This record gives sequence, structure tokens and C-alpha cells, in this order.
Amino acid sequence: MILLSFIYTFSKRSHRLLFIFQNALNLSIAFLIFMRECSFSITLVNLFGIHLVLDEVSRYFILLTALVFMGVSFRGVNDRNLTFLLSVTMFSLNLLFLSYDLFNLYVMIELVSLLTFLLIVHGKKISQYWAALKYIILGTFGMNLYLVGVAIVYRFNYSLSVQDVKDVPLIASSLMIVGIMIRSGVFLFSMWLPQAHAEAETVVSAVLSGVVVKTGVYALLRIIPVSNRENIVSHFGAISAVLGVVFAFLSDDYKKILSYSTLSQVGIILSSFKTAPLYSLAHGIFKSWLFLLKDDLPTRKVKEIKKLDFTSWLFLILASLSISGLPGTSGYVKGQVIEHVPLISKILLEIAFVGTCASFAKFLFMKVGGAESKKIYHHIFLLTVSTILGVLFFNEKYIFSSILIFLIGISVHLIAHGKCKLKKIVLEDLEVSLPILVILTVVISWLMYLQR
Amino acid sequence: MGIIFIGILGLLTRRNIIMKLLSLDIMGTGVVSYFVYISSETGAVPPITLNWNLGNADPIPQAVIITSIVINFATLALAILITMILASKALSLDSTKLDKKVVD
Repeated sequence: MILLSFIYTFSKRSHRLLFIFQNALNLSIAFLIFMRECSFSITLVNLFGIHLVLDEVSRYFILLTALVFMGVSFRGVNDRNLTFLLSVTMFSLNLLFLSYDLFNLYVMIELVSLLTFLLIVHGKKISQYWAALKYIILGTFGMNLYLVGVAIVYRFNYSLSVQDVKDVPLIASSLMIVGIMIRSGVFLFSMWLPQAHAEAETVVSAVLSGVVVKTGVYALLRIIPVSNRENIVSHFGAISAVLGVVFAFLSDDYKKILSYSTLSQVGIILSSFKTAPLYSLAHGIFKSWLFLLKDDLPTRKVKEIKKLDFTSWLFLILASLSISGLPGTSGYVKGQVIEHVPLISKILLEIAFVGTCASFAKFLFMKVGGAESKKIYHHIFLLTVSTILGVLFFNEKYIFSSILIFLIGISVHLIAHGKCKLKKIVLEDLEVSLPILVILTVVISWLMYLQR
Repeated sequence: MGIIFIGILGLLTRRNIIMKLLSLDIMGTGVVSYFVYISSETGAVPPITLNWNLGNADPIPQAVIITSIVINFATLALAILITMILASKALSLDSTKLDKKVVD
């Protein structure tokens, strides 16, 4: 497989077809794993070796990787180097979603983030360079904190396995959790995310928002249930869901809306650990779809879009409905998230859902007209996947509430749209977000101390 | 641990990107030396023997941290490359100025 990816760099013409072929292979393997419910647990070389585990959580994430990359390859990548980078990223993501010991997690997350770094700067714009540099500084800071946590865990347990995070000192688990949360896109922790995701090329941001953000989520999913700290992180998740959606509603830039909404969706994912794999699968699909749709829009400024051609209009509406979570679409699995959270988070999450509907209601009122667009295969593919997911997890209980939330969202949009505007957020600056991170580290350790 | 705090302090106070990267590297070095300290808790004798004694150093943290040194090196190299490009394109290395410039 890795050999195949090296072939791209040498083959000039056929790299597109090869990319599709390779992704189809990967997708079929992932699908087989998912359907057969394969599972294994290997430790490579001795007691302290690399521990790989394939279980239900990893199955969801591997399927997600395969689906998103399939969608991207259907769209077609024009650059050879980009194709190469993307395929290497795919393999390292697959490996990451299998790893089960603390140090291997660290190595794979760093590898993926270095690749992400190269992917972001692919367009060679100043803003991209700056966003990537911010990402690398904040991310390395976080990973250093994580490593200190791992060191303390090793000192107490003489083991690097995830299962032994149980009885470690508070400071260790809080350092590890903060370190990963910086990577995973929780509001306040990862304020590098909107800029990096909005500035990157379309294909790249689809991959970033769809899968790469989920690497942090995966690591959190592995560590937190073992260390019994679910409460704090899920409350942070719910708060992040609401704040992210507020910014998404206020901003005017298409890609900015999507990336703020990513912040809020990651919050929703983290607020309930039982349904997290399922919801991240759904979120990865509709978010990468929305990002890929950006190619069909004439401009990034939402207000300047006057007319859209019929196909992109149709798919834009379908994708927006799917993120709003109407029955029959992939966003509909949100009903299951609500069921598993405590009351306070439930209220916050309902607000977040309403806000999501409101911020994507802008796209429901576009006018049709103009020439037809050319490529629609990837839209059709992602639409089918989204519908299948919606039908598979269909549940009559939530029909009424989801439609109600949707209607409230639209009315909020009609009332408040265009009244307030957002130009620039101070929180995204490097000089502001670094002190915030340090303060948050202290706050989280303090909260954990109180909870004990 | 002290080195890590010096690194964090540097990250917070300096505005120049090069200084920030330097502090990041200092922080990484702090983490590495913490790992080395942990491995020397059981003893300082190099563990190149067939029969394990109490005085031997623990090889696991040392083996593990080598990977992290390599990763730190790669990250730093990439970051400095990007800083060079930024310096030639944006003509500034001040983080606040860069933040303003990007928005315009």
C-alpha cells in the first residue's frame, strides 16, 4: 500500500486514477472490517512494544477515514505532490486509529500533525504559512505537556499502556488531557483551528475537518474513560458546542462558518462518550461534503453569492439539511447523543443544535440560475453515504424534536440574520491563545482536584 | 521541570517568532531531561549486562524519548523553514504584526 503511494510521485498522468483505485481498496477493506466486526489486539515485540487494538471505536474511525478520502478522490486532486501527501496521511491515520499505548499515540499524532502542516501550506499563501506556524507552535506546546503527563504515568506504573492510566496522580491525567484537547478542536483550547481550516485549500480542509480533528477525539476517547474524568471534559464539550455555534452564526465567510461549526460539532462529539464514534462518523461525512461544496460556489463571502446553478444549489441544500439533522440524513444521529448526557449538557446541546440550523439556514434561501457545474460524482457518493447512515440509525422518537429544532433554527435565522456582524476575533491571536492555554491547564487540574 | 517552566515563560513573553521557537525547543529539552531523570531513578549504571541489578538505569524511558527527540527536530526544522518564508514574504517576525497582517 505504501509502495503504491510512492508510485504517484513517479507516474505523471495516472496519479488520479491510481488514487481512486487505492482509496477504493482501502474503503473495501474498511467496509469488510466494519461489517464482519473484526477485532484483534497485538503487542508488537515484547512487553513494552507497540500495542495495536482493533475494536468498535477504531472500526468507526477507520470507516470514516476511508469514506472521507473516497469522497476527496472522487472530486479529483490536481497536484501530484498533494496526492502523495494525502495518501501518506491516510495510512498514518489508519495506523493512528489502531494504536493503544500512550507513546505510540504521541508518535502518530505528531506524524499526522507534521503532514497536516505540509498540507496546510500547500497553497503557498502568507495566511496559510502563518496559520500553519501557529498550529505547529500551539500543537507542540500541547504535546510537550502530554509527554510530561506520560512521564509521570510511567514513573508511577512502570507501564505505557492506556489501561494503566487509572490510578495516576491528578496532574498527570490533566496534563495529558489538556495536551490532546489542544489538538482535538475544543473551543478556547484550539483557537488555531478556524484560521488553519479556513485558509487551507478546499480538498485539504475537507480532510482536516473530516478526519484529522478526529485524531485528538480518538486519543481522548481512549484515555478519558479509563481515567474516570468524563464529567469535566463533557462539560467543556457542551460549552464549546454553544460558543462555536455562536461564532459560526455571526461570521459571513463560507469556510469560516464551516470551521467554527467544526469547533461546535467536536464539542457535541465530546459531550457524550458512548455515542462519540458514531457521531464523529456522521460529522466527518457531512462536514467534508460541505467543504468540498465550496468549489462550486463563486465566492467565499456568503452575502455576495447572488445565484447558484441548479446542481450545486441542490447539493448545498441537501448538505445543509444533513448538518441540521433532519430525519433520513446523517446528522440525524444527534438524537442518540442527547439521550446519553446529563440535564445541563442537554440544554446546552439543544441550544447548539438550534444554532447549527440557524447558521446553515442561510444556504437554504439561495436563488437558482446560471450555468451547470461539471463534476458531481463526489457529491452523489457522499449523499448516498449520508442517506444510508441516516436510514440505518433511524429512530422514530426524535422525528418531532428534530423538525421542531429545525424550524426554531430557521426562525432564529430570519429574525437575527444580518443584525450583528463579526470581523475578527482576538482569541485567535497567538499572543492571546498561549496564555489562555496555560490558564486553562491550571483550571482543569484545579477542577479535577475539586472533583476527587 | 525547571527547564520546562523556563520554556513556557519564554513562549509567553517573547514576541519574536524565532525566540518563540527557541523557547519551544527549550521546553522540549526539559521534557527529554525529565525522562532521563526518571530512568536514572533506579540507578545510573548503563544497563548493558545479562544479569539485571538494582543499580542499573531503566532503559525504557530512554529508548522511548529518542523518538521524541527526532520528532522535535523535524518539527523545529519545518517551523524554521516556514519562518524563513514568512520573513521574506511578510517582512516581519513579530507575532502581533503578523496576526494583523493576515486579516487585512
